[in-house]
Amino acid sequence: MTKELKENLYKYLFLVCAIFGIVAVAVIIFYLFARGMPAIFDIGFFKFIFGERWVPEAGLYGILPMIVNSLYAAAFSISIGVVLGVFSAVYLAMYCKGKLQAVLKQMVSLLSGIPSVVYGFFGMMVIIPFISDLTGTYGYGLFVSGIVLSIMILPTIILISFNSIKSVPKSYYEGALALGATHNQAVFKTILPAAKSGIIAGVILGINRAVGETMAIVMVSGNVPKIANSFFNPIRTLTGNIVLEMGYATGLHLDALIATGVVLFFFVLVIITCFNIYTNKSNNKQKEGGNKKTIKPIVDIHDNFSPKIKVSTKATNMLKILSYICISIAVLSLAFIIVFLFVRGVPYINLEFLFGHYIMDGRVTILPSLVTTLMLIVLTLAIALPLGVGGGIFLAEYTKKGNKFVGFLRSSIETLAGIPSIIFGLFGMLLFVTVFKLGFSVYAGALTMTLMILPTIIRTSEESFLAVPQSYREGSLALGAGKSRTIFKVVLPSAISGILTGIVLSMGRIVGESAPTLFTVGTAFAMPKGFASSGITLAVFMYILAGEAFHVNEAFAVAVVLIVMVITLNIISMVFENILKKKNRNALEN
Amino acid sequence: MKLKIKNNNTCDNFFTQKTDIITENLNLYYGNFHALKDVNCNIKEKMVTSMIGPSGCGKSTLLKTFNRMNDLVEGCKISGKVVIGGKDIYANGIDVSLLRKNVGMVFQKPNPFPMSIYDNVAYAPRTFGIRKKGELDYIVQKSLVKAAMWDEVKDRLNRGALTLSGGQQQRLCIARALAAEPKILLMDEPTSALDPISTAKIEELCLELKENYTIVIVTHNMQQAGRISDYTAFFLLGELVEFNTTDNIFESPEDERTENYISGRFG
Repeated sequence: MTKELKENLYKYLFLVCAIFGIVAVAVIIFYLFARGMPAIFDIGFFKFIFGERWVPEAGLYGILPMIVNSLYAAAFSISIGVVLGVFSAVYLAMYCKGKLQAVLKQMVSLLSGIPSVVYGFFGMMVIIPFISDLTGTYGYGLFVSGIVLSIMILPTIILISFNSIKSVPKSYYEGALALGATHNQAVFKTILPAAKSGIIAGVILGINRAVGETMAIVMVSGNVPKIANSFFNPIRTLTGNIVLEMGYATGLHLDALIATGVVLFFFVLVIITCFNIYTNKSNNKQKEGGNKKTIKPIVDIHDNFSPKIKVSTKATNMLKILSYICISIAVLSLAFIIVFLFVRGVPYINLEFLFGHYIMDGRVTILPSLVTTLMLIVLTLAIALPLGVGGGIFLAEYTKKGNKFVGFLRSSIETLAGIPSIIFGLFGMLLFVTVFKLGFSVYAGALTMTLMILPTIIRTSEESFLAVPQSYREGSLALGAGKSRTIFKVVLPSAISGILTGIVLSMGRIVGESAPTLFTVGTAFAMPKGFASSGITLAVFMYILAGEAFHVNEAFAVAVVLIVMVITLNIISMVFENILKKKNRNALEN
Repeated sequence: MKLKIKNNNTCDNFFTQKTDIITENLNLYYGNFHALKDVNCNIKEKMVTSMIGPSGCGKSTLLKTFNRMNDLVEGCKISGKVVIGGKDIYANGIDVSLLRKNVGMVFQKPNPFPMSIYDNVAYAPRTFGIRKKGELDYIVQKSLVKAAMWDEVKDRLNRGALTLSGGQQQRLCIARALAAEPKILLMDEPTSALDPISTAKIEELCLELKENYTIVIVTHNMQQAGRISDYTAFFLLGELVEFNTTDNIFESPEDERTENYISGRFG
C-alpha cells in the first residue's frame, strides 16, 4: 500500500466516524417524523395538538394537557433553578475563596451526575408526603415535579454560570473598583452583566434538561393527562406520556406516542437553536451598530450644576445576602438528599443484597442488574469509543476553521447531545428492538446508549487533541513521519488522559440513565445469559423497586449504590482531568 | 461643536484642603518582597507628575497606593503614611469607595466595560446614586467633552464600547474616570498599548486636564515624561532616588543613578 493511499484511508475512516454523528441525528429525526407525522394527520393536526383529552381506548389522542403541563413544569422549575443557580454561582465565584470554593465546586459537579431516578425517588419518599400533609392533597403533581426538576437542573446552571463569571476579565473588576464601586457593586453591576450571555446559555441548557427529563417526573407527577389548574394538581408531561405507554401501545396508539416524541423534539430543537445562537453571540462579543440613543447636546456646559451624590449600597448588599441564602439552600438541599438516602439505605446493604440470587420470595439482590449494567457499559464503550475518538481526531486534526461542513458537523453533534434521553429510548425500541429484531437485549441497549454518549466522547477527545502542543506534531512530521503515524504515535498518547475523562463521564451516564434502557434492555430480573438476552440495569431496577410498595428499603439501598458508583466515576474523571491540566501546564512551561 | 468647560465642581467634600499627595516613610511589602522603601514625596496639586524608572522599580506600586488598589493584592502590607488633601487615606474609617471616586485611575490596558459608551461613562455617577436621566446625560456629555471625544461618539452613544479602537477606548476610560468627578487622576502607563497618534492625543489631553486635576502618570517613555510633566520622580529598586522639576531631572540630575538612567546607560 502506498503511503498516500494509507493516509487517505485513515482520513476517510476518521471522517466516517465523525459523519456518524450527522447520520444518527438524521436517522432519528427522519424515523420519528416518518412515523409520527402520518399519525398526526390521521388524528387530525388540531385534534392532536389542541385536543384536551387523551383516552387511547376511546381513540382520543389530544396532547394539549401534556404540552401545557411540560411547559408549566419547566417554567416553574426554571424560575426556581435560575435564581438559586445563578446566585449560588455568584457566591461561589465572587464571595468564597480557596479551599471552600474548591470543595463546594467539586461537590456541585459530583452531584451533577446523580441519576434522575434517585431524585425522583427522593421526591416520592420525602417531598410528596410532606406536601400531602401540608396541603391535604394527594401530593403528586406540578408543585413537586417543579421542585424535583429545579434541584436536578441546579448543578448544570451553577457550573456553567460559575465558569462564565470566572472568565470575565479581571480588568473589569479593577476598573469598577477604581471608579469607587464597592465589591458588591462591581460584582452585580459589572461582572454579572459581562457574564450574561454565558449564564443565559447555561439557563437554556437547564431548560432543555427540564423539558426532557422523564423518569424523575414520572415518579412524582401523578401522570394524569389533564391541564393543571393549581400547583397541586397531578400532571402528565410529554416525556411521561411516552414512557408510560410505550411498553404496551400498538398501532395508532404507538404512532401517537411517536408523534408526542416529534412534538417534544420540536421543543428541544427550538431550545438548542436558541442555545447555539446565544453561544455564537457571546463569541462575537459586541455588535456594530445600534446608535439609536443620543442625548440632547447641552450647549452651555457650566459647573454650577452639581447633583447630590449619595452612597447607597443597600440594593447590592441585598443581592449579596440573597446569594448567601441561595448557596445555602442549594448546598443544604443537595447535601440533605444524599445524607437522607444514605441514612435510610446503608443499613440494608449486605452481601446477600449485593451478590445473592434473586428469588421470588421477596428478598432482593442487585447482582443481575449489576452484571447487566457492567455488560452494557462494556458493549456500549466498545462501539462508541472507536467512533467517538475517530470523530474527535477528525474534528481536531483534519478540519480548518470556518469550514461550513465542519460547522454543520458540530451543530449536529450539539443537537445529538441535546436530545432528551426518552427520545433515544423510543427510537431504540422502535429501531433496534423491533425493526432490527434484537428484542429486549443488551445489544439493543448498547446501540441506544452509543447514540447518547457519542457527543460526550467526541467532544472530550477533540478537546484533549487540541490541547496537545503543536510542537509535538511538528517534531514528528519533521522526522518524516506521516500524518496518521503522528496521530497514533504522538498525539493520541499525549491526549489519553482527556479521552479517559470522556470515557469515565460516559460510564457515569450509562449507569445513571434509565429512560433509554427501560424499553431496550428490558426489565427482566434474571441474570443475563449473554449480550443477546434481556436484563435490567441498576437505574431501571431502582425505578421498578420504587414503584413496588414492599421494597422501599431495598430501593433506598439501590439509590446508595447508584450514588456511590456515579460519584466514584466522577471522582475518577476529575483525577484524569487534573492529570491532563498538569500535563498541559508542563508542556506550556517547557 | 466645541464646548467650553469651566472649573470643575465638587459634589462631595471628601477632600477639604488642597489635593497634594504626601507620603511619609512609606514602606510596602508583597509578602516578603520589599517593594517600596521609605518613600517620601510631595506631589503638588494641579500639576502633572511623572514617575519613571526601570520595570519592577515600584512606580506602579506607589501609584496604586494612592487609590488603595493595592488592597486587592493578597499579602500586601503597608507602613508609613499617605496623606491626600490633608487626609490620611490609610486611617481607620476612611471610605475607600469615596477615596477612589475622588482619585480616579486609568489603566495600562484600556478596560472599558462590555456595555454601551453611554453606560460606561454613566457607571460612576450611577454607582453614587445619580439616577435622573437629565443629570446623567449632562455628566456623560461633560465628561466626554473633557476627554476630547464627544464629537467622535455623540451620534453613537448606544454602541458597545468594545467596538471602539484602542486609543478611543483609552480616552473613553479617561472620560469614565472624569465622570466620577475626581480631583486626582492616576495614569498607569496609559499609552503603552497605543499607537503614536493615539498617544499624542492622550498627552495633549493630559496637558488640558491639568488645569483642573492633579495628574500622576507612570511611564516607561522618558520623552513622554519630558513632554508632559512638570515634576518627575525617578525610582530604582523600590527607592525614590530623586524627585524634582522635570527640567532639573532631565538637565541637571543630582544623583548619579538618575543621570545614568536618563542617559540610557541602564533600564
